[in-house]
Amino acid sequence: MTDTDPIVITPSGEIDLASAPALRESITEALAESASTVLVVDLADVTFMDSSGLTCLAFAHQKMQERDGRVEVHNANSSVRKLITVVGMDQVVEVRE
Amino acid sequence: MSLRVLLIEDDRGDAVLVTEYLEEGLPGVQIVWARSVTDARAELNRGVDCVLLDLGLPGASGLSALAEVLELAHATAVVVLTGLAVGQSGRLAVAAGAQDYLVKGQVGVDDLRRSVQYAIERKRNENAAQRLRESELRAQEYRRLERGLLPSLQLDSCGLDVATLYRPGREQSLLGGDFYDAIAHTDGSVDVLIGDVAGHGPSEAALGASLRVAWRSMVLAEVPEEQRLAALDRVLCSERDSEEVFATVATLSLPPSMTTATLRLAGHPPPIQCEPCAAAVDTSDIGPALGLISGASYPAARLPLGPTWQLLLYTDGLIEGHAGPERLGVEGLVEQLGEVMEPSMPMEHVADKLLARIEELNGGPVADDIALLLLRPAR
Repeated sequence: MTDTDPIVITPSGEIDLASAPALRESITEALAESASTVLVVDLADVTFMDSSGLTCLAFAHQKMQERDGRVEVHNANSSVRKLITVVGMDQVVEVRE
Repeated sequence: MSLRVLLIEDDRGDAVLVTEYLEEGLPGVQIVWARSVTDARAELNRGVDCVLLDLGLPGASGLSALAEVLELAHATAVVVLTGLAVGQSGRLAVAAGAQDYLVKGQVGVDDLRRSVQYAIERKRNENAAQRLRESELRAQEYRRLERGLLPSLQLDSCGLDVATLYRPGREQSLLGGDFYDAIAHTDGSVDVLIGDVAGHGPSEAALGASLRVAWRSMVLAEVPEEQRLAALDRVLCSERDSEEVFATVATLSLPPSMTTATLRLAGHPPPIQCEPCAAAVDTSDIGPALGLISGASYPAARLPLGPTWQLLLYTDGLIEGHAGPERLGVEGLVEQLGEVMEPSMPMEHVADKLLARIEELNGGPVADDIALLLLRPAR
């Protein structure tokens, strides 16, 4: 892997109060391994997310800002996408199909 | 369960003797022998009932070995063994945190048994007292923070009937950042706030309390309603611990006539209006959560209010519980509120009944904190 490839994270299941700390940790680990300026959070296998998941995205956004990079959220299901939109997180991270 | 005693002793002869005494005095005891604190590390991490530590270990002064053991296993009872010629070291060890000391060569089976049993008992009491002190301190801290987050509302002689409810999340040790407030003015108009700092912990709770007080100050100082959320966004950005922290907020302003309301949402889930049928307020145009985007705007929605209006404002804990295989969601909440809401029922009962239903669907208390406000005209 080179530093120009995007960093990809693929959480699965439910992202809530209980599982968010692990996601935050895997974001931290992935960012430590690569200097890439694009972080893709692929939510294809995520069935549910609450505001704890949004705090992870905000954390990831913050970390990527520090290296002039960006966060992309891919493949979020409709309820997750709705949550992201209501909170306005779609104006901070790039939400893609 | 049998006692587990860890013996840290470099001399094989002494170790054999102590083991014999222990087995005789405390039948069934499990004894693990380590020659040094380093060798004992894994066992200390695993947890034992009592440590018997030789203060005469080579390569380390006895008290530094004790300090090392206490650091690794601060909740475990420790009895030190000293040689005859060591003078004060036993008493110094007790002052440094050991429960007891024994002088080698002057100890019989009964002395050893009593010393180990008393040490374990004393340490247990010490640990329990420590836990009690900590939980009392935490409870005081939480009460202080909760008063800041969930104040008594200033609604004297206003034309509203209001019920509030707050339920901490299932993990009660995690203090949430949910907050609400409401203020009635002398002309009969009313301002209402509900919000939620994302995340859990004392700093989120403290930030929630700051936001609420900042909002109340603006209302009391008659800062125009349309300027408040932008100002609150700046307050959050200057008060937060880290740049990633954000908060969702809903505000509602009711004029003296109570025929319309001005609603502003910053990333917050929509209120539910009953008129008399329950429905989520249509909010296509809403602002982002506070702290996400600098210079954001927070558009107003005007809600027409009929003579029998009722409104529910809430934090997201209320819609994130399970309902069968799915989560409740806003639609599910609308349905549940529609079923429990009876115009003749006191608002507190409606709130209690709604929460009881949601907890029943979830199969117990929901994970996150819940705060809610129910409003209707007084009759």
